[in-house]
Amino acid sequence: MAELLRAIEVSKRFPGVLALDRVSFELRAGEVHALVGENGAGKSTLVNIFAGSLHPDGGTIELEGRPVQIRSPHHAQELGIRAVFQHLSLVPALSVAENIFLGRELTTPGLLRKPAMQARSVAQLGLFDAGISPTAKVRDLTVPQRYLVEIAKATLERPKVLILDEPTASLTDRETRVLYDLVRELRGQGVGVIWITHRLEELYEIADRVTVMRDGRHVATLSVHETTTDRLITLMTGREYEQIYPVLQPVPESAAVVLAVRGLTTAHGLRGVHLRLRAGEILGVGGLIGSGKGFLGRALVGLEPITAGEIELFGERIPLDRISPHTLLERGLMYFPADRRHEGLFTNRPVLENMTIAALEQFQRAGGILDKRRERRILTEYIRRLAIVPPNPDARVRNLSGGNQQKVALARGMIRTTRVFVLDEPTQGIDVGAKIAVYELLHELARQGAAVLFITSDMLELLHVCHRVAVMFQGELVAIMRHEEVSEERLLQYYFGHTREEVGRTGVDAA
Amino acid sequence: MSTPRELATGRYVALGRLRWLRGVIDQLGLLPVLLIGLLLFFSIASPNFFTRTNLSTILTQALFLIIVSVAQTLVLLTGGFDLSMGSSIALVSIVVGLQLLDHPDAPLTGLVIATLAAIAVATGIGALNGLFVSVFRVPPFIVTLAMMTAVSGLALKVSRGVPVFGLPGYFSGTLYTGKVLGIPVPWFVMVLVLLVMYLLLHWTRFGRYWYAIGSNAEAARLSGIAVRFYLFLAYAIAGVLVGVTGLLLTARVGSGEPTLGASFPLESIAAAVLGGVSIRGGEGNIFGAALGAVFLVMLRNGMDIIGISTYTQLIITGALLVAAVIIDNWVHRER
Repeated sequence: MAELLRAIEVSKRFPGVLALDRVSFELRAGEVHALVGENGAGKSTLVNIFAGSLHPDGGTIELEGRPVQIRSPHHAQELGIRAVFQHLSLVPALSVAENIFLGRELTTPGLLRKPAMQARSVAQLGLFDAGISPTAKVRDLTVPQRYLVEIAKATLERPKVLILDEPTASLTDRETRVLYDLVRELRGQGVGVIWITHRLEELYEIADRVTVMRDGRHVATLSVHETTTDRLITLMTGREYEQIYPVLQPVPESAAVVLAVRGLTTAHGLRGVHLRLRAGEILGVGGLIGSGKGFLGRALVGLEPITAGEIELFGERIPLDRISPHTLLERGLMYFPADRRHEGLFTNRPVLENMTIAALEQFQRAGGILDKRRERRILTEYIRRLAIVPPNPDARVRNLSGGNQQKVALARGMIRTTRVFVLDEPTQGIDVGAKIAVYELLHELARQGAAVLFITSDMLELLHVCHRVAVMFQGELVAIMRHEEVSEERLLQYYFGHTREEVGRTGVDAA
Repeated sequence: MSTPRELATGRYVALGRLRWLRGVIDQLGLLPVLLIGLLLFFSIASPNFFTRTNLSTILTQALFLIIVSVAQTLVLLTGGFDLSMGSSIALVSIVVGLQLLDHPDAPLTGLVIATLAAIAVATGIGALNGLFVSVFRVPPFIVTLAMMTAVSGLALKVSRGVPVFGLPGYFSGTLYTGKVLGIPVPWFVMVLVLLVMYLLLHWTRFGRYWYAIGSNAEAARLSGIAVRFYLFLAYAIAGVLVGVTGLLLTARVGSGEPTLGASFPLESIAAAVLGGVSIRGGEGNIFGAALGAVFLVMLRNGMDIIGISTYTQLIITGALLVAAVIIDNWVHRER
């Protein structure tokens, strides 16, 4: 196969950090080349150079054997390099077809050929079989649908190189399938695809080769079939696979039930969910996107309208009309949303304020004046314990990495002496090193007697981090199993609704 | 093994070099620099500028805008703003004037009633704003624009469009030229307002919650903060300060004026933004806003002295406001 795109010894320096250190990379026509590595490894910098958003400080880029200088994103597009990033470039107020053709509208002299553009859009979207109307406004689409429109836009004129930055992060299972099909089709037409991902399972589905980066350097390029997940994780992190998941401590026999949910039903999303959570226990909740597992966390603090059911916390039944983040927090349950940046953190405020915001009562002296010295002292201790980088209570949270942001969010619950942690996708979008820190933190919390409801899309976390695992399917909790009973095969069966089991039989009371 | 961590630290240290500069701007805006520049410029341009009398005139004029800007900052911090402060001051002025006419010979009763009336009226208006913004979730722009229009109408209706003249002499004698501990009363009040608001914003839960709500209302709710209550409270407390300003300003002009303070809403927003308060909420502090108010008043005073026409002054002030927002964007842009 021909070399389509090459980076030869490319370097890029940002103030104080060498983001790329003489990295070489090659993409062949008709291959899907995965790019993996922890956050900060340099993946984004590299593809941003290909996409024309950044300029290298050293090294050469070659396109089809000829050296090129990619001057701007516009220039990259002219060269046939298209990139789809997490931040979408769609105009919400315009229709799907208008977005796809934005800037290259089809016209008869001066007038827009709307029917033609809509027809082309249908053909383009037909690839995805996603039921998106070309005349629908983008603002009315779901996030996964928008992503597909973005890809339709990028592939309208068949590019030579297509760069996808964590394409499946916001897609549901169904859309992931159609994306795979599309990418395979493009590959068949000779397009070279760079696929950045954090989900190593994906590689075996879609990628031909994989390049691992670490700390701005090229570590290895391997054929996907010659490698294993364990090997890749070791290459990415410099750690062995077994070192990632901490040893699970058993829940004491005498541990009391702290949270009991009975028949929880919401207007949309949940149907009759039963579960019980004990002190010191980590209960994982898995399921496909759309299975309702995300609704479970939100419903517990009243963010979804509850239509029926009971929530009992520390033996006290909470009236349905009183359920709110505030009342549950007062009773020791805190919810940590999946969308940290938009729902969880005050990104333009300092670390200190983010961490103590829910516990200010503890730092009040007579007359309501805050004891800032004590606040700072206690906080500095948490920052050290959690190894938050930078270890500066005054740093703005927006300047922290995703992993450190998650630690700040969790610390908010710890400072308040929370007894029940409800976490929605706490490790999404953070690198392996930070994930390990989160796992250790959760285990530490459990050892101290906190109960953790751990909602996650990462099957490995269900397998390795949780005392018990519950699976949601179409809004129902269809199975609960103990750690020893969990296997990937069983999880998948429940994920796709192949088997149903009386929930009570294997789990609720047994664990 | 710790390389990612080292990398992250490295990046942070690098930012550290630029940090002090950005930090200064972050805290106060470019304002200290601009203010000194302005002082130098006008001092060189005219011998009448840097005199004891003129500087004291500037500060006396600035005082009222300072209090309103502090009130405006409180609302801006929560992610809103208040356009009704000006007409609120006008209504306060009329109500105070009418109350005082009933007590021409009883200074103590007159002052107490006037003060209570001023605070009640403006706090009531602020509370209504807060109610609509927090409970009914109407955008602050709409709520306070509507309030501005309605209250302005009310002030004109109550006064029948003419000022309330003939206020008893003790009123201005106490609240404008009177002194407490050797300090003129308006000054005393302003210092008190700055002090109390500083304590409230930086040394109590209230301040933390307001900053948090302005930074991310959803995260604030999930942190157990009663967002609606604190939003309401911000508008109501801003109302208290507006009431105080209306009272002092009426004492200064010596009559109840139905159009008093009309320029305050926009000027206070301008002062706050110049002083580094983010129009997006959650960033800035009252001292920046107070300095911004001084800057605006000094600019107007200096331009008067060197003979720039009122019309040109407006153009220059407008241009400066846009420049301030551009600077705001630059300082607060996401990296």
